[in-house]
Amino acid sequence: MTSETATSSTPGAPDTSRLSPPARRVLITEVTDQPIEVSTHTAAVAGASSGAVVSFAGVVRNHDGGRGVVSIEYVGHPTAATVLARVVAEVTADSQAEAVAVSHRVGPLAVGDAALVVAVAGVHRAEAFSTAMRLVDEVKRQLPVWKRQVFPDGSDEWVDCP
Amino acid sequence: MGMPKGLLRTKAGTPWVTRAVAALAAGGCAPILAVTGAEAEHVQALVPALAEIVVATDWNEGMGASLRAGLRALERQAPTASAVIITLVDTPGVTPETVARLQQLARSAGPGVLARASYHGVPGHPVLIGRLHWTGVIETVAGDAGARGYLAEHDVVLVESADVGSGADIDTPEDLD
Repeated sequence: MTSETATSSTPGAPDTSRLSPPARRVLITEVTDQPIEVSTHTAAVAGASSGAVVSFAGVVRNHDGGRGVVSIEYVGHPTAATVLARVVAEVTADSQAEAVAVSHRVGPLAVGDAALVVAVAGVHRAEAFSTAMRLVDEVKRQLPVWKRQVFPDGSDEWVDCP
Repeated sequence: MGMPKGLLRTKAGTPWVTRAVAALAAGGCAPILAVTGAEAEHVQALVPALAEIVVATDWNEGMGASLRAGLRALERQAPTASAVIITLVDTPGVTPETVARLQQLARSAGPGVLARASYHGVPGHPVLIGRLHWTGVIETVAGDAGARGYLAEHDVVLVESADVGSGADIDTPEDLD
């Protein structure tokens, strides 16, 4: 099989030849109440031309500001999925990365659950690392998602940023 | 009152808009937006630099238009803000202490919060509107009633503040102090 037939005429294979580069490179942007996994995101972005796959998981930790945390609830604004898609498109359009995948989870999460997962594939590691860093920073800065931390004594506190 | 309220000053010479912005800042709000309408360019000259200015070009439709303009601007400028505290230029009895009480409630109640200061049980200003309500408020504001209709249809927490401020609306120049 030649590369032409593989990319343009294999029955059933998605034809990406007419997509603009940013559209081809954004593989997942999702705000979901289901568990999110690093492995599905790295698998989605990995490709034969990528020499580097960088992943990040923002995970619920068992303490914050010196207090124990037993669980966290994330609440997203109805526009959160649209905002996430826009932020990821903006960062990706300005990046040399080959492919990106980003998901944010909402709803009740336990300690150890991933709230934010980012995976980036690049030809070289520098662009993969820097794109992953910018994706995490911009998602945290712009996504209208809030978290409520529940402490061991039953009290709780809302935090502005994911 | 014969002139835009945004141009009024206390007897000591402090513009009301300066007082309102100072109360919000001292109460812990950031960012701060000042929505101007009537004689916008003159009012803007009185707005302290720590507030960003939003011009409601349709201000003559009433207070609702200004509220809508302010919320839309805030959605752009503070996309992750969980709540907004709204005060009027003609309620000079609003104090930093009252603002701080609403801030504290916003922190504990999250983006679904709806609350307002009350004075001896009478609802007044400021009003605290959680982010999950902004779209509903923007869609329902009308004329001079502002968010009144939306607030009437939802549960609103009253934060008693008569011990630290006053909720009086100033509607005649004789009321000025």
